Amino acid sequence: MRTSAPLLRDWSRSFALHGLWVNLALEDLRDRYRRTVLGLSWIVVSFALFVGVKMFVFGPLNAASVSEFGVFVTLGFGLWTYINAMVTDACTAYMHSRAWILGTATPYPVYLLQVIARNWMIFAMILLVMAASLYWNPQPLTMKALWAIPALVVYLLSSVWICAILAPLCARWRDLYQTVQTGLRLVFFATPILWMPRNFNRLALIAELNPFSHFIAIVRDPLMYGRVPVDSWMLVLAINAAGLVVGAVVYATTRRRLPHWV
Amino acid sequence: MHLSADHITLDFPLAQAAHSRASAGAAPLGGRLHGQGRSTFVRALDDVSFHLEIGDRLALVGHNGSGKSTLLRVLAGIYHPDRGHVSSSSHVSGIFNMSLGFRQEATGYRNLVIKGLMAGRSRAEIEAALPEIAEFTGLGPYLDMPLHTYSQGMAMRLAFAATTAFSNDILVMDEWIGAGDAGFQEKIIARMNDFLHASTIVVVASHSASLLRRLANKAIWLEQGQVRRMGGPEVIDEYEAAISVVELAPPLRAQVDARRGLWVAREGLDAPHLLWNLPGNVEGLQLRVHTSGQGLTVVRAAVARCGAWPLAPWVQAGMRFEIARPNEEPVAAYVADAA
Repeated sequence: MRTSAPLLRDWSRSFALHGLWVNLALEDLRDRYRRTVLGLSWIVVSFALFVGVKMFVFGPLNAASVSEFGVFVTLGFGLWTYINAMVTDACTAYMHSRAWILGTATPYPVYLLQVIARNWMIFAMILLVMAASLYWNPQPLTMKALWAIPALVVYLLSSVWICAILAPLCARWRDLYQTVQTGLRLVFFATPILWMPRNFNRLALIAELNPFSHFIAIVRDPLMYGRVPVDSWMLVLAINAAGLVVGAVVYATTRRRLPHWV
Repeated sequence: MHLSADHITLDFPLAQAAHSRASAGAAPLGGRLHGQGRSTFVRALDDVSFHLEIGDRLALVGHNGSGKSTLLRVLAGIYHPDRGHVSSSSHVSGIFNMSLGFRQEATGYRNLVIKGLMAGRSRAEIEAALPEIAEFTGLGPYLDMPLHTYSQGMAMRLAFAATTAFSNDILVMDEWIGAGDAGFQEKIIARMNDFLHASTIVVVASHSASLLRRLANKAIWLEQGQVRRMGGPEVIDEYEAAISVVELAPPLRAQVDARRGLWVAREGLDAPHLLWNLPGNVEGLQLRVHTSGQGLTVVRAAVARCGAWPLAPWVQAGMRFEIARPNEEPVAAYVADAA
């Protein structure tokens, strides 16, 4: 109980400082694309190009129609782009804010929310491409497609606890950052994004065991096939419940030592 | 209004165990090393307590690594002490790195807004303060240009203006002065005087004793994370005297410590030395000599509070040595005798 008071105080103060982290996230993005002609549309252009090449290379390997596979890759890869960037940035959230952590008493969650806000700004643009791709989907949209919205809310929630866990632990053990990066690269191929499970029996089992497939399914399935994957939802909610608890514990136990680690 | 520290102790964990030789004996710099089980710690602060009231300006002095910056960071809420606690009547602003949060690609105005948000100000408060800050910086049209077009001094002006404009009533500062051109330095000192007239509490750590003497009414001398002396501005003098003799050879050090003024010592030394140990402010003092033939010659352009000068072969009886500022009356004098 002794450690929960500062935890709640830090997070509520950080949410109140929303003007700060939203602006910091905006500046991060502006810094990245400043003095470019295309500016923020680089995000859309590079994503669309990537999806195009992937369809061209991996399309013939799948039995599905070109349009179905195209939407499948666009949605899956769009979600994966967010997951990958969010988890990687979560690792470096505190390390990149080292000067701030040692220079001000700003509550630490501000730096986590800054990273989340920045990734959602990018994700919002990718979501536009994903929404546009649904035009080519062989099946018409149903009301069940609305289930993608709570799924995206779950993405937001997951980002918070992933940051709360990875940011301090990666600052303490720098090898963890490299491990996470390498792990994500491997998981990408074990997740049904470039391949469809129904075409490969052995891979279907891997997809079933891989939690990332379920995170992707809760958004992709209602949009593409008009069905709500109940099992995937259960698993994702269970992971979130556990993640929130672990995130709170890690945050509360590391906050005192954080300035010594970054 | 108050700011007080109550038995603050802070350990820094060390990644690797200290070498036994390093931990033996009293190292003059840094905190004391100690082990606990398999891990080693540096005791950066050891049982530091003080209490400041409205209008108090506390100077922190001490060697490199004596814990000055660490103490300031504890007061500002950046480090969380292992034992003891800090209490204050309002939020404490820390000024450690004035260019913190500056974006090279953003305009001066945009950087001011971000600085204000950093200090927890609302957008409306920042907009209201902007004209006055802009006026203070004297940067004019440059405020609409990206920061990377600024010279270092211009960036410094922006940083100082933003930092002080968005500070609270209780301030802790680390080595904050020293940049900017002469005109801007005066502005900084005038702004500091505003702080002092206002009802504020200020804690400053600096190696510039003359600056601290102008500013402080209280002082703490830290050594290896512990309070060695606490009191009024005289603590700054004592600290300055202590560090200026550290550089001298041990027999000279003992003789310098023993007296005040300007004199010649011969006993126990290889060669006769002119020694001095001065009270008060020593800023701008020189050692000079009056000779009948050549008039006034400067021997040392700057002297510390305590020091020694080996008598040169050309010194003759009747020469008058003085310690003074240029074109001023001497604060100490000595006339060489026949020996």
